Amino acid sequence: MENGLEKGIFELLCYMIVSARNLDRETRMYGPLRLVDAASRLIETLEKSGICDEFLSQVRSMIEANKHKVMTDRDGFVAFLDDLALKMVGRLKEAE
Amino acid sequence: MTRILQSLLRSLGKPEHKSFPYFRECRSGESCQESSSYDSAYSQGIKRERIAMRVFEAIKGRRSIRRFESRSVDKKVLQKLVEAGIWAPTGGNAQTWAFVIVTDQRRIQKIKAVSPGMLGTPSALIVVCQDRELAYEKGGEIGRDTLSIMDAAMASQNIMLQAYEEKLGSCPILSFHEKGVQTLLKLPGHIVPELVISLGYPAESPKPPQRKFEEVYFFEEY
Repeated sequence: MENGLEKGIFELLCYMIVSARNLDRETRMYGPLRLVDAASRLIETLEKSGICDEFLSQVRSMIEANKHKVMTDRDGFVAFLDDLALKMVGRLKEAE
Repeated sequence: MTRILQSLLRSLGKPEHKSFPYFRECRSGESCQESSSYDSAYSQGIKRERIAMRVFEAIKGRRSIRRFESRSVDKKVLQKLVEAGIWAPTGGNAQTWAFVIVTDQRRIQKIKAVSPGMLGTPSALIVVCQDRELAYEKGGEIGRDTLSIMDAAMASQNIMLQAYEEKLGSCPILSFHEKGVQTLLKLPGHIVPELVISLGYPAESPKPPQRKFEEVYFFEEY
């Protein structure tokens, strides 16, 4: 697995599969955290391979700046997820 | 309380260790001019209460760090962290633990892939393990199922406090795939990883989550 993209995707798959296993016994809010963190890791992998646009880089920056709120500010974390979802919807609409 | 803090000090600062910044600051009142040891602190009549206060400051100053600088951590520093770990108390003096230091970035990346709780890119890991067979042999079921986990936790706290003294950030991680980590580190089946501690020079200074002393503190009775 010398290819960076292939390696990055494979490690992401490992992360997602182990998350699926472990979430069975973990704090409920870690489910949303793992999903949004997986999104960040996917964007990071795309960035490293030079196939990521500025919009997705912004999404990743938002995730990195807010994901830790899950441990200290649950309402703030949920509000951040709402904002992020709406940001994605905005992009979807632009693509129509 | 003072006794507990003194015990903690002993577990943090072995006499042969010449550096103990909290103590040195305590001696000079301003900056550190020379090194000394915990024992000589007593022989020179340093007030125990003031030394204890420095431990309390270290306890309150430590944070869980999830963003690290890329520079590496010296192997001797990492070994010192393990040494701090093994000065933690153990149930029945069992000492059934094992500590695996990992610094190879490719290996760290592989462990990270099976450790969803690991955030950022740490320069090093200390995997705190327990020999479950030995724990059972020494302590029976309670030794294997309860005490060994408590022992690993107490050793980990020592490691993280010592890391703080070494100006390293740390974060304890429980969310990993046990057998996955065992496979990647070539651990035999009875050596079980209990906690992974990520380490590196911090690239963030997170604010501490609030502590609610009055809600959890009771005296004499609940």
